[in-house]
Amino acid sequence: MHLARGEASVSDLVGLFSLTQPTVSSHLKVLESAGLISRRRVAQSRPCKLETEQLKAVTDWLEQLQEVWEGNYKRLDALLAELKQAQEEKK
Amino acid sequence: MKPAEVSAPSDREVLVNRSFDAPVNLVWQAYTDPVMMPRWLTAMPGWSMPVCEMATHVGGKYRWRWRNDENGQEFGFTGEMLEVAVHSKIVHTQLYDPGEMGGSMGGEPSIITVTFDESDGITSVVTSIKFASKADRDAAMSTGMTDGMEMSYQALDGVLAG
Repeated sequence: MHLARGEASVSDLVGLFSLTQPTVSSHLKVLESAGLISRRRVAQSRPCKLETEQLKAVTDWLEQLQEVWEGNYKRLDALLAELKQAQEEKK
Repeated sequence: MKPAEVSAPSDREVLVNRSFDAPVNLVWQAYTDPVMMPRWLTAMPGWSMPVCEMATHVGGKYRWRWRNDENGQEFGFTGEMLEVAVHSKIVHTQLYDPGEMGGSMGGEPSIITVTFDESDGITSVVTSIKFASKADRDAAMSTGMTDGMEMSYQALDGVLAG
């Protein structure tokens, strides 16, 4: 949330969340590997930035996949209803 | 049934969750019988699945191909069955075959795991798509987005023509 306002350093975030530095660093590592934030190297510090474009590309793509899969699954619902009826008639 | 839930648990994996109002033996049949599969696995409106060669034994190869009914363009997937547990689980490799559609989903095959779980006549199906790398995921993503836009344009053409 804080990153929505711009870059922040690890020590900024440690101060904000009253978490230890290793905890904040390990959270950031997860976010970075997911491509949700990026980090520059400035001397000893590595400020992080929210990657909103990448985030939007992923959510758009997932939304599109959802539409395609749900389209298939609606047809599958209909096919299963048909198979179920056929199975019951056989009994 | 609730609509399919699609999520990305990591930067190289996509998970799809959906439940069906049918016992697992019928869901399994719809997922593995090459006569049944093209009846629902048609991908998008205006597309059909003219090639559906399926294998349900470990080491067996499958080949699926889709065709755009209007312009005849095709794309497909091929792969090999890695694990088959009847009424419970299928694991297979998947390689994108761009046909005339173009695009890429990276060089390495992705791994698809489908699990089936029935409870009180409702079968939940979880599909995991695991790309070989984030780069492959990104390639699939940009191919998907291009196709998606193409589809929307075609839909729009249909509306304008109608």
